[in-house]
Order: sequence, then C-alpha cells, then structure tokens
Amino acid sequence: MKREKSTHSQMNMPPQGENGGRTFHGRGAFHERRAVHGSKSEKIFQALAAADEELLARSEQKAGKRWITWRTLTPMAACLCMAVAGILLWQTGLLKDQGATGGAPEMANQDTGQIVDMQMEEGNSMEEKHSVEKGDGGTREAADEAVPAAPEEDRAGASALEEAAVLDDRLDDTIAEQQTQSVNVQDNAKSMAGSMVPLAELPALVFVEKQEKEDVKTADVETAVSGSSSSYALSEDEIAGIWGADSISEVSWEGMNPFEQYDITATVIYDKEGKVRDVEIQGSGKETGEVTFRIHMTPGQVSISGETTLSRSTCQIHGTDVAAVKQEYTLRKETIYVYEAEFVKAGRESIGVGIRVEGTAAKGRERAYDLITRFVSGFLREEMEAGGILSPG
Amino acid sequence: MKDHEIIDLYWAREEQAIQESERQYGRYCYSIAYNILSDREDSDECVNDTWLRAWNAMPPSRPGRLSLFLGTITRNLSFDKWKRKKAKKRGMGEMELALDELIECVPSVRSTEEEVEAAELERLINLFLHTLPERECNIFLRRYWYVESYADIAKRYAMNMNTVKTSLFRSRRKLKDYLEEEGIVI
Repeated sequence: MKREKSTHSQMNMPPQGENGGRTFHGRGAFHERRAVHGSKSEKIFQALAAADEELLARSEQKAGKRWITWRTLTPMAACLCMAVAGILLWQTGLLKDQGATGGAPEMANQDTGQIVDMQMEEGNSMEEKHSVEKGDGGTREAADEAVPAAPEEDRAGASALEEAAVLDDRLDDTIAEQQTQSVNVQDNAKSMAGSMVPLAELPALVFVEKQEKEDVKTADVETAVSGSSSSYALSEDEIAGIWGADSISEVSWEGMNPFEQYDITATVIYDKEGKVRDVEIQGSGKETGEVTFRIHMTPGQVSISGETTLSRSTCQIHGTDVAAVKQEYTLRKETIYVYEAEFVKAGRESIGVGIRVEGTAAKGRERAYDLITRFVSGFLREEMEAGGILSPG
Repeated sequence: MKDHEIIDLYWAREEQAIQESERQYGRYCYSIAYNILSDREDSDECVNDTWLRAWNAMPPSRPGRLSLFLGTITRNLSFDKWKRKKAKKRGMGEMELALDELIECVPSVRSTEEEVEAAELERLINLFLHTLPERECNIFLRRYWYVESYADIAKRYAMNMNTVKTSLFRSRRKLKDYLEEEGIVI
C-alpha cells in the first residue's frame, strides 16, 4: 500500500462517535489538505490518533510508588559490587600472604603430625584382624597400629621441613617393621620396604575395615590430614620423577592453603580374584572443595574419572589412557581447569598415579592442586604390579 | 460531575457543558496542547477550539471516555497548529496564509482511496499497539500520543530515563518491521 497523501482521517475529529467526526469542514478541511504534504512521521503521528481508548486509558495509570527506585537502586548495586570485589581482593591477598609465609611449597595432604589411628574390623563379626585377605589366597599384612604422631616437644621449635624429615624416618621405620613382622607379606613387599614412601601414602596402606560381600571386598581407608605442616614427603627429585622433569616447575603449591584441613577417605573394591578393581578416593578441604576420584583398573588400562567442586564448580575428567589423561574445561567463561593424570614410575620405586589439577581463577591467580596423588600412589603400586599393569620398578 | 452527565449537557445543548468540560479536563487538554506546541497562547487557543469541536460533535457523538474524546480533539488541533507554525518558519509566511484562506473555499477532497488507506494505517497501528507489551505500549503512547518528554514518562512509570529511551527505540523498530511485514509503504 503506497500512500502519498495524508492518512489523518480523524485529523480534526474525535476518534470515537457515530459520525467519526468526519463531517467537520472549514478549518478542519483546510488542515487536512495541509497534511497532504506531511512527512512520513506526521502520517504515523496522525494515525496514532485512532489508538484504542483502552490502551490510552491504561497508559494514563501511573506506576505505583516504589519504596526504592531504579535511580537509587543502581548506585546501591554498584556500591555492593565494589564492596564484594574489595572483599575478594582482600581475601586473595591474604591467601597469598599465607602462602608466602608458609615457606616451602605445601602439600597439605602429606601432613606428618596427625595421622589418625585406624582400627581394623572384619565383616560383621567385628573381630579385629591385622590383615586383609586377598582373593587369590594371599594375605597382605597391613599396619594395625596408628602411625605415631610426633610429640609436641619434638615439633616445637623445629622447622617444618625438619619435622617432616624426622617423621618420615619414623614412618619408614614403622613400615619396615610392619613388613618384616608380617607373616603373609606379599612378594613385592620387599621392594616397598626399601623404598621411600611418602607420608601421605602411608594411610593408604592401613586397612581399617574390610566388608565381605558376595563378590566384592571393600576396604575403607580413612585418614585426617592436616595441612599445618610445610613438609614434603617426596623430594624434589621424586616429584620431578612423578611429574616429569619438564613439568616440575608447573607444579605449584601456591594455591594450597597450608593451614587447611584435609579429610581423605579411600575405598578399595576388589573383584572375585582379589585384585583391586576400583579405588574411590574422596577428599575435602576448605580451599580445595570436595574431591572425588575413581580409578578403575583392568590389565593394561586404567580409567580415571573424577570430579571436584573447585570454586563451587563441578569438573569431571574421564580418561583411559594409561600414559596421560588430560582434559580441559572452561567454567564460567573465565576459569580454566586442566586435569592431568599420569601413570608414572618415579626415579626409584615411587610408582603411582599422578593427578594434577590446575586452575586459572578469575583473578588470574594460578592454582595447582595435587589432590590425592601421593595418597594413592604407594598403595596402587602394589596392586598395579600384582595385576600386571606395571612392572615392578 | 461525571462524564455521562457532561455528555448529557452537550446533548441537551447546555452551555454549562463547556464550563464543566473546561473545569474537568481543561488542564488535561492544555497539557496535551502544550506538549505539542510548547506555547501557552497557542495551547490556550487549541483548548478553546476543543470545546467548540466537542460542542459540534455532541450530538451525535456519545463518547465512552470523555477525557480521551476531548484529548484527541486537542491533539489533532494542536498538531495542525504545529504544522502551520512549522510552515511559517520555513518562509511561507503570508503566502501560506493566503493559500490557507483559499483552501477554506475548497470542499473536502479526500478521496475514497485516501480514506481507505488512512483507515487501514490506523487499523494496523492499532493492531501493532496491541502486540506490544503493556509497559512498552504505555511508553509508546505517552511519547507519541501525548508527546510527553522522556523525563515525564520516566517519572510517571518510576523508571530510568534511559530505559524509556531504550523501550521507545525498540518500539519504533518493531513498528517499522511490522509495517514492512504488512506491506505498508508510506
């Protein structure tokens, strides 16, 4: 429809009524003629005169009085955002300060002081045992004693590294003693006895509970690890062995809160043959969040899946590559987490699964989490070798 | 006095109808005129003309809402006056006035085609208004029917002025798309 002339049928007339106002003449007619040359916008303006009464009446109503208006809400929201940002920045600085004062890089789940004593139970009989029977008829001697915590007087005044070294030696002795006293020790226990076992791995060797099921035996391993110590159970060489010499520099512990408390629980599920089929490790820490990893092992292949609630986000990894599993996820647009799982053999005999999680937080602060790597490595080594997944180192 | 009573006065040809209209809706009509003309004298003139037009229109008209009926008359009168003033500013001055006077002698020449086209455009714009969300429609009408300023609209609906501008921008774009879809070329 092309219009070259005025559209204002009601230019000088009322919009409603029986005659529609179209009988007006005189000046009204004059004005209509003038409108012939009106612009496009004028035509629409004139056509709008015929808007429905109900719409016009509705537009007459004023908005109810608000107790708060956008004019005041906007600056309030801006102030709130700035306050939140300030708090976050302040907290970030605080964490950095804590990391700086912590001295050496931290591995919180390798605490040396507070390894909880575990008791061993078997089935429903609640009868204590010192070993967990394996399906192939062999038995494995597990420590039935709690790893002695370092006396307070020993810790007092000693540096964290020194403390770690002392406790490390003690634990080595303890393990060696347990292994030598064991009657049904596994064949590969010898290699374990001579090896340097990380502190955090030791709780995994302590079987506290065994539940007999039809086909599956489950052993729960629990420990509470405090990150208050700044010690390392693994030397840098060993860390390099796990992560690879090239990646050692990438393993940063800055993101770990050395004062954080970590609780770790591992559940081991055996198959009918008594071999480890699944290991589920759950850990939690204020900084790290909830962490769950599942390691499913079949000869020649290891499947690792896990999820964690870092920064209140849920991440998942899935992989079957024995050599390395790497997944990248972008969360909330600004956060990237990289998961790497490596099946490695360290310099000497530390064989295990390394799981590394790195995250780039919104503020650009890099975080590296060594979650439970050392916790499982020592334990899995034995099973992997037994299952033929890895040859003894 | 209620609307229907005033209308009854018009139908009874009582001059009190004009007084009551002025008392009841004088300010309302004046605001519409002033929004368009921005001139007190012109606005007063338009409002006075409004009563005359209403007097001529009732009977036979019996509007449902007297305020809107009178407001529409005022709006149209004001718009006409605005266009005349605009033409004068362009330099048509006396010539335009002379022509205006002559045009009064010419009977209305709106053809049937023009009437149909005008009615069609009005119908489509009306339909378009119904497609808009309530708030958007209200803002659109306050701006292009009542010719209110952004500030007044924002105050009326307790909104931010930028929100009003954004809403109007969207509405205009929608109207353009709507008219194009309907095949309207103005």
